[in-house]
Amino acid sequence: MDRNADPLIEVENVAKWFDTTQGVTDRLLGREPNPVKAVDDVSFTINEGDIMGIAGESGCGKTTLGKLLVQLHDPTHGSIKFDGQDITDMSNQEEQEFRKRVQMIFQDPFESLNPRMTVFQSVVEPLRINEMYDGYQARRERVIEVLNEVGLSPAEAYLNEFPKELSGGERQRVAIARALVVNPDFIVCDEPVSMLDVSIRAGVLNLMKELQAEYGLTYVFISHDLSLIRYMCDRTAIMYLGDVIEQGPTDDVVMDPKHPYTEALFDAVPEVDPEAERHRANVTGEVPNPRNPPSGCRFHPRCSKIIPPENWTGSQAAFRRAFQFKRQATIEEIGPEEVDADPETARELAVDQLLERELALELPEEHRGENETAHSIDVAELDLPRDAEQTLRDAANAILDEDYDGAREVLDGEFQTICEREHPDLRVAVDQITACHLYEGEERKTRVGAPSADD
Amino acid sequence: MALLEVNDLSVRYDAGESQVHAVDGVSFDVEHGETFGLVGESGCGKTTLGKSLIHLLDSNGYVESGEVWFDGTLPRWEDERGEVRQEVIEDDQYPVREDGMTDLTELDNEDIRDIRWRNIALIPQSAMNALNPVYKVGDQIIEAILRHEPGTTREEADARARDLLERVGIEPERADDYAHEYSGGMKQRAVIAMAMACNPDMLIADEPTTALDVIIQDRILEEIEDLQEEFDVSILVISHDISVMAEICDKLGVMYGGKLMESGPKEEVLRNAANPYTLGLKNSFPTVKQEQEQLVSIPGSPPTLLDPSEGCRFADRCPFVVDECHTTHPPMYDVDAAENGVRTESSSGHEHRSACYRVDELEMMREDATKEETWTETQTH
Repeated sequence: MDRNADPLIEVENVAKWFDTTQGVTDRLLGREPNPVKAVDDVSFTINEGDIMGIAGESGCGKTTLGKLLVQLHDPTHGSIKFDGQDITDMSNQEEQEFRKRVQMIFQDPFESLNPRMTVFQSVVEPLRINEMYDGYQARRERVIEVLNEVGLSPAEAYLNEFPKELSGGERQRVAIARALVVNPDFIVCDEPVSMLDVSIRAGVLNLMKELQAEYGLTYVFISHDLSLIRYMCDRTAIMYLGDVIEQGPTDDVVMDPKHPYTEALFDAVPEVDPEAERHRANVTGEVPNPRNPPSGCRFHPRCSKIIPPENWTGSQAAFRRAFQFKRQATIEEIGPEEVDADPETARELAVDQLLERELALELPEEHRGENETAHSIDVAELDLPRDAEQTLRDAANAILDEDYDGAREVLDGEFQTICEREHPDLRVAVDQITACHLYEGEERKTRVGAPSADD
Repeated sequence: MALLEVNDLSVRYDAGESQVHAVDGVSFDVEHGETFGLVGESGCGKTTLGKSLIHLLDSNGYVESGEVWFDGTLPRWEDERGEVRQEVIEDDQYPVREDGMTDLTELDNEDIRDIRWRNIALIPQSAMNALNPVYKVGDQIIEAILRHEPGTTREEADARARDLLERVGIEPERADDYAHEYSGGMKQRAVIAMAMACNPDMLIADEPTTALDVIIQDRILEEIEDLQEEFDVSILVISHDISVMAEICDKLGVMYGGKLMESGPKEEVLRNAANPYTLGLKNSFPTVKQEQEQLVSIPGSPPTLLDPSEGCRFADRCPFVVDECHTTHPPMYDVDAAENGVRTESSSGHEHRSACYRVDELEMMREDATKEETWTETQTH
């Protein structure tokens, strides 16, 4: 990887929101549009000749981001520059030129090839549309050349085949040939091998690497499969609910993740080697609804390293649990039905039981505290400041009466954390940049607007 | 005594003139409380094999030959203590062996229903779609309990359904919700709870985590491990993902083209693979945290199972192919003996076995399989 290469793609504060418009009924009823922020204020650069990986769970916005890069979506705001030119604002002619230089390979080769077109027709189409090469013969030669390069040789045997006559691996090679035939500079690959069998996959991946070296291509490689990202990419960006939460050289991101989410994500990947050391992911809950994402850092409700306020005298583990209690109480997820003791006759016991139960986190065994199971915890063992415990008891009392407003009132202003209040910007953390308050002040050189790939 | 003994099982699908040999002469054992993994690429017959055990094949599929011996039998063949009655064993009209094991392939469609769920439960592929959208999740579990344990009252079944949900990490009140109110991970948990409803001896889990995100997958895998510890249930896991298998299985069977190519304890199969196909598969599988090595793919593509050729199914793609490979598909050889250069057929379903004629040249194969040129030179096109 050439560290001094020029940036080819510069993405700055790009966002893509869906459902931003109101229908007639919405307007009549006075409902505000509540857009899904599929990609929200993302900035990064991709250097020429790099393979940039974009990873994350389903629904995190990685495909939307990929489509933004090739202008299949218009960004809601922000700018994307390709080779110095803003692609969100192009004339027709510029756009034509742009489409020639930028291509996309889609996930499913069983869907992305027209079943009624032969291999030749599929691969020659981009040449016809872009008016490249003169005449049938020249185009045919170019198609044959490309088919040979993607490992479909002898190409003549494939020209008149229909997709249904090809295997999955062959089809994906045709899709790659179709992208390559116009001699592009930049290709976005959206899960290019996820539909292929393991034994075929490696061949397609290696082919993509070889072609990259040969043509000097720049790739964006989108995948949910972290082991593929590790294998393919020079640099990696990890996304969560529309945010890029960490990016940097792949090796650093994988082996020394800075963001707690990245760490959890990589911990969750099973290892083939039965003797490899394995940790389980230290997170609670599931990905929340993107229509209504959490405030501040979007990961904070699940985070293992949520930051206690400065005046907190207990342990971080205790704070994490108290904070979860507050969250659950606020959204009325806990109630009196969860205790065995009768709140009327044995109030103290009921409060104890509710705390015991609700302060426990559903975590893999290795991340639990002593005397903690998924459904109960020894409150005395928790390093919880006395006044915090009293607050929790007051709240529990209110909850036992199903007085959630009362509980909210008690908890309001308590257990505050910067993670809930402020959305973290990307900041430098050793070799990578990450969006996490943990790295506040450590090396906060600049507010990283569009971080350069050399960070 | 094993819980399940699959003996030379062959399953076919009718496809007009010819048959699809989806599963061909597969034998393996699953012990009590053990997790056995069947791993292979799409179309290798692993799901067909799993379904055939409890008669869930599509209408054109049938068991051609072989037996599936299961330690457990129909309620009406049992005595009060749950043992098989002596006269059932002695009478030849019942498919019950002397040691009390029943041949599941001989049961008819009515009888197999008493085995399903009560003895063997299935966690189907794409569990996300396995829940009925118009019934409450709790009611679906209750229905299963009532059907398979007729003595239970509705109240008991309801309490048990809630217990089960809680056991897999879903709040009991959610029993009154519909499937669309559940997240993906919760649906998967609910399906697992449902499979456990009648406390089966064995679970068949077909791609239990394939549609899930990696963090949820991690949770579900832990859940499965915990359940197994708690209920001592045997699990037959079917998956294409070797890393998932490496994580939860005790034993592994590698399938290819309807045949079992290699089987044995997980560590043995993964660390000391003894079959060219397993060796190739290992080469093509990336890891996250280990040293990154060049991946090498297996040339060619999986065989069609429509009237396949007589020889070894992997012969066309195998870099170690010799003339013998084209005669008949190799039997399972004992790998321990082969390590010492002796080729003997394996007699037991427990040990490390491999179906390859050149198993006695293991050292050479293992060494050559790590070289990239070994695999590229056989490239057919």
